[in-house]
Amino acid sequence: MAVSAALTILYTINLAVPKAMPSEVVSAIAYITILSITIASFHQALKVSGWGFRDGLMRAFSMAVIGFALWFVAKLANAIYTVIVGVEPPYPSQIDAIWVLGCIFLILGLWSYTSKFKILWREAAEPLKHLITLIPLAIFFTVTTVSLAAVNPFKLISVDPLEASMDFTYTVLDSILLSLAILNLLLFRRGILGRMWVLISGGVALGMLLDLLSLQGFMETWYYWGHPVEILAIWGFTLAALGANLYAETFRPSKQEISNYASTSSRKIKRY
Amino acid sequence: MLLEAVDEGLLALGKQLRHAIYRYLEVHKGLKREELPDRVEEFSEALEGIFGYCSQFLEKAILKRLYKQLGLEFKQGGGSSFKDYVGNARIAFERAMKNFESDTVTPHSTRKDEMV
Repeated sequence: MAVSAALTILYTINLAVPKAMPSEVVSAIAYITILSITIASFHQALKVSGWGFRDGLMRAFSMAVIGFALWFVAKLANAIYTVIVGVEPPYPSQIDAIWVLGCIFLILGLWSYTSKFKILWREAAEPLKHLITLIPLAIFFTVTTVSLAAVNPFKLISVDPLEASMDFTYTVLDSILLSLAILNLLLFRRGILGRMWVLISGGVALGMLLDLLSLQGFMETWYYWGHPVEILAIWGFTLAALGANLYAETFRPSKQEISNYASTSSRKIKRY
Repeated sequence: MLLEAVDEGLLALGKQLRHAIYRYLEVHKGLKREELPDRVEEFSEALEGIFGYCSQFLEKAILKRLYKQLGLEFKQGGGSSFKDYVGNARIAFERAMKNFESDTVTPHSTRKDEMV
């Protein structure tokens, strides 16, 4: 929270005194810092279930860490391009491909988490079971329709089909992320896991809002790297990190258990 | 039997999470696994504290297993809590045990009566 507040101040200073620091540098510092914190928080949550792909929860948090790490790589590459090389990367570029891949990992992670609890939905009454399936679909279609109407990437399709399809991809992937997060928020409402999903859903919603605004901004040419609107993403990542932190704090294994686990693993490795 | 049902019910979420839930109950709620049968209401509240709305489905999964182990039919009625269902299962089980005991005792007592 303190780091996010400091980054918000940095954006405000940059807006008030534009020549104090290049806005690309502000953007690079902000994203790299906040993504490092987010990865660290999700890594803490990952310690509860352990790293791997065997179990649904292991998969969920492992994929979340991979997804955020890919976003970190994308932002780092963007920073190297804009700050060090001094060239703004084209849109779309390989950086966008990495970002989209990160988004896919996050969606798969979210889906693994949701599927893990599917066994519990089976116990729900028949009408509720259908409602649980329909709610995320309804959210997805509403959010996608509203965002596509707001951004309207199709107007670019004749000029730059690649850019239009990338805008479309970003919007749809954001909608999927938001729908899955809201589904979990509804399922676990009133509990600790519900609070975690309030934070994560809030984070995803802020991230999506920034994506929509930046897509709009790029088209209307008012958006630039380091624009104060990026504060939305900074707080979005902060909320997601707080959600992961809440999970890690609640289910944190004791030091004894971690050392037991480590010694068992090392024994197993030695045996091989 | 309740402990077995809870173990199996929570196992649906995976070994790691089951372990994490037991740890949470012990550390944050002072509720040890072995004490669950005597502190059913607190266990139910703690589950709701973690899983919120979803806790009712988890409780239902546990209750179904408990009733199956006891050879009872699980029927969901409106307004009954987890504690009520466990209490009802206890009563039904004790009644069944008494019937079983009296069934096994009756032939002997008849023979005694005949002797008298």
